[in-house]
Amino acid sequence: MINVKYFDFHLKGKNPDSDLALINEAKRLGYHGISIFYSNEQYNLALENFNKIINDETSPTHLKSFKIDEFSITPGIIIQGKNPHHLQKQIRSLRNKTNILMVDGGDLKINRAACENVKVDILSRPYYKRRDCGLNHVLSREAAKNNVAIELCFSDLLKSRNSLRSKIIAHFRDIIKLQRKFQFMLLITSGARTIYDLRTPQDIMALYRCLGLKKEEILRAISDSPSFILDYNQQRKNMVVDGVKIIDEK
Amino acid sequence: MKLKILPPTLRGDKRYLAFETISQIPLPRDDLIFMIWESCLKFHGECETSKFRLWVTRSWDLNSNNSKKDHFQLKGILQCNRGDEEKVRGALCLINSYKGKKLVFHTLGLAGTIKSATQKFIKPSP
Repeated sequence: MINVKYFDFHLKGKNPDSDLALINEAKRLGYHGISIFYSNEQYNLALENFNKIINDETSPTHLKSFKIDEFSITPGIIIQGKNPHHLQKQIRSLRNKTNILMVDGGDLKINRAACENVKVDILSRPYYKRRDCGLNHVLSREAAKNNVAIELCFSDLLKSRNSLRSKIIAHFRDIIKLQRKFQFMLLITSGARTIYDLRTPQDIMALYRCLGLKKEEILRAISDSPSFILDYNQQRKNMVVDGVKIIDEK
Repeated sequence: MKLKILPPTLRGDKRYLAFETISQIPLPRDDLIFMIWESCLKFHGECETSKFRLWVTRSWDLNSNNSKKDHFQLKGILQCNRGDEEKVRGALCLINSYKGKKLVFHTLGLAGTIKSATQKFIKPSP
């Protein structure tokens, strides 16, 4: 049997205690890695905190990702762009600071700027506060071209009720339909702030199967795509252009 | 007078979901059953839920009498129709609050008999 590695690629960091509780709970539920997102201001503090938790004196202090017993923790930065120009400025300044860069979507111009930027890893919730799913064929094609993953956040389903929940499910279906046609990366995440928002990978899979995704597609979204983003970002600094990278002979 | 039980060939197939709940306040059995039904009805609708044949067979309260705990744990076994396990699982994971307090449902596993569900997921032998 193939051993699948499950990742939860969007946890919301708050303070050291709650972050540690989230990490421990995710580990208990069977995840192999998580990514915790902070705003730009909180990010440095979070890195210091992780260095203290891991308390490994042999590891260098400039680490951007951590490991506890094969459980990987990758802190990331979430950008809330006011307009496309502001967003691009933020991306340029923060890209080298972190391993994972996520853009909070919702506004159509922000969605487009994020999909067109190869430096962005994840576009989070393009459907947020919208009447449509926030993506069309043009944005989907750009997202696929630039390796920008589109996130479907479970906490949006969890925190909504009745008609709002059904609209979010409809947006999810629209995104899934576009994904099948244009083959951009899809990410299924929990968006958890507390341990009460986390679910086991099998529960998440069961829920998304109810929404119409196939088992292989779900596995791609919670296992393969996160692994690809992590690997891609480790090699990003060596990449000259897409398809060309500098190989260290040593 | 009690109806005679159907022969095994005419009985529907069942599966047993072992689950655990973690809540901020203690959770009585009646409320647990209400929440499971409510979630399934809301997510799948009346027509679909009628096929699930839900039944909470057993539950274990894992809290000692210490009322100062910040979370309360409960484990149980839920019987459902074979083939509809994923739908029930999907509905269960959408439960997130109880009387204004936070609550979470985790499915521990799936088994064909109550005995194996208990042995594998509720009280695993060392």
